[in-house]
Amino acid sequence: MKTFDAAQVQSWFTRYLADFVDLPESAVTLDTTFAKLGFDSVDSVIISGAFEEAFDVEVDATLFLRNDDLRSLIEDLRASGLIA
Amino acid sequence: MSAAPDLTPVLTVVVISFEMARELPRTLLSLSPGYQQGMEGHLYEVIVVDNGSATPPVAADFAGLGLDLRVLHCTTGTRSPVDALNMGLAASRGGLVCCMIDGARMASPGLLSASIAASRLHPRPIVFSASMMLGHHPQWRAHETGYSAAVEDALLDSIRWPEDGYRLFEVSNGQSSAPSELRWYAPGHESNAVTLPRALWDEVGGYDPGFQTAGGGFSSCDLFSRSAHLPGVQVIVLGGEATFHQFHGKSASTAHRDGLDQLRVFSQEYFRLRNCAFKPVRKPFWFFQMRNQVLQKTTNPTKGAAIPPEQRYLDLLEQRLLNSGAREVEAHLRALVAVLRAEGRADLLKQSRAGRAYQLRRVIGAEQQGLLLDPTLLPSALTMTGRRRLQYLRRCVETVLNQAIPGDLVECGIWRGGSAMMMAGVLVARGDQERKVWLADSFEGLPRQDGDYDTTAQVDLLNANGLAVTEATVRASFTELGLMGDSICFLPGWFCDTLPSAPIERIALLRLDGDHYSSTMDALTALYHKVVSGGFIIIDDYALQPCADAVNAFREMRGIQEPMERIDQMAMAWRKHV
Ligand SMILES: C[S@@+](CC[C@H](N)C(=O)[O-])C[C@H]1O[C@@H](n2cnc3c(N)ncnc32)[C@H](O)[C@@H]1O
Repeated sequence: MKTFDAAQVQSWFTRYLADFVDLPESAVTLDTTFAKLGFDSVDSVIISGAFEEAFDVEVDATLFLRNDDLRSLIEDLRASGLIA
Repeated sequence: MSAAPDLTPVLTVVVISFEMARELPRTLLSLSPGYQQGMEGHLYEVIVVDNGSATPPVAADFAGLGLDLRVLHCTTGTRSPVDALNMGLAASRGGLVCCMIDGARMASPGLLSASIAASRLHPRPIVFSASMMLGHHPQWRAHETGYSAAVEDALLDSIRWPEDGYRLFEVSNGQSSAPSELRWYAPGHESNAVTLPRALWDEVGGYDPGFQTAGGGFSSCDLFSRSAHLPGVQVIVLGGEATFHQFHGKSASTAHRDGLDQLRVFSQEYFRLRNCAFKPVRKPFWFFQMRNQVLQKTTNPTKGAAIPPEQRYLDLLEQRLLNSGAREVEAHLRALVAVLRAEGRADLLKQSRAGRAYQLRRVIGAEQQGLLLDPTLLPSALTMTGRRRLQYLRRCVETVLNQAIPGDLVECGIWRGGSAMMMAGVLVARGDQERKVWLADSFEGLPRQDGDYDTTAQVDLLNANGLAVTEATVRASFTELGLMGDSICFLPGWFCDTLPSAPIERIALLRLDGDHYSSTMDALTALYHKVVSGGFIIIDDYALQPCADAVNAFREMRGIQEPMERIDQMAMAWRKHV
């Protein structure tokens, strides 16, 4: 199974999410809650799709819904073995 | 010297079709000169590009529409409309080109003239129009709501489409139901009818053939985003105009039950092609509106217009059912006076004078609000529900018809029949001959037992003072008002005996007015599952504790989540979702 580096995943998400909401990357930290960025369930599907494409993996559709911020999302990916 | 007339169309509309035998004729009608307003002075052409339908449309079939119409055939064999769109763009001759990626979308009557007028306001305009969906719920929820092509046909009939194309707003959902009013105006991800001058189409390079998922994935969003970000352009949003999606099996993304799975595939494709986030256009935009039909439609549909006869009739019926004219009541009073005089008790009349004004106010107030003053003093009207509840009922039945909610109308607990007469009256006024009105009642008043409770004492008093009304009396009143007919069905007997086997198939409106716990519970148990999605449930007696107990227990048992709406101090209602 493929694994990724936590820093690599974090920097991808920071860039994508900042782009998504038209904010500078500095506005997206490990603790910025997704709710605060205004994501809904449709957005989370779109972000999952882009992540899958970027990393050539499949992730669970609920990945975003069950995590509130980047920190817990990365932990979640670690628990599922995607992050080494 | 005379120059040859310029026959270059001012506008080309490119419409993509794929297996749309049902939808395309309406779309083309909605683009035709007979339907589009303000296009008299404009030459425009419509190009349908068929993307590989088994039986492609033929231009001759639409000859009656008076359109400058060409049908092209895209044979690249892809499920994406992108090649077809680019083919249409290449064939177009207009100075402006409007692309409609989905041929199942009908237009509002000012779409084309507003697009032309708006594009004249700026040298580099990107004209955006809103995308609505026919039906009162999102079409992707059709598997829950029962929405279908047949329901949609009935909806369109209900607004007599294409008589006034702006009425499409009354029977559709989309931007206007967005959480924020401002969403209506914001340009968002994509437009299903986007108009650019031909030079801008060239500059942006048309649609990207890289988008090859069925339906074109995010190609239309991509086109809109890329054009909105060309240098020096101005996004102009059309207010009061839109396209309206008809229900069909072949549509992209949102109209599908598995929409979210599709969305993920679209997102993957988009990221692969663009390597950036997929997001709406968030540039400042201009807002352009020529007509305010839509505002009128959504705020006060009848203001300024002559009152239609059906409404006059129903207003009159309402007065009659509430007995507001009250001639009979006055007659009763004069009869009472005559009796007292004949009996030599004029002294009582004299005595009553002092308290009369006060009692009169109580009596009138109670009747208007549908409250019982005293179990021995039932109102004189044909319904005891009062004005608020009667008007609410009328609006519900009108909504059932406007929104083509399928099914019959049922009342459990009829008394003199006024509420049922209102249901029948709306059907008559609107010329509906399909639906039945079911009248369930013992026609001998309330039962003495309410489950384990013996209610004999109160019930006997009520029944003896006029709560028990025979079927013959109710029939006579229906006949007197001209409402009797085959569609009026009587179910005489106790609810527990008649309702479980009643031959009612589907219910659009269920009105419960049986007062007791058991009467309410029996009716809900026997009939609730027959109420269709979008149907109404009205509980007349919610202010009576036994009735409220029954409703609450039933809702809890069935996990009913739909919020209840208060009608007045007695009654509640809710609308079934799924
Ligand atoms: C309050 S009245 C109905 C008022 C009426 N809907 C109106 O618009 O004025 C209650 C009616 O429910 C009927 N009823 C109550 N419980 C019943 C039951 N279990 N079976 C049959 N009829 C019942 C009574 O006969 C009575 O006509």
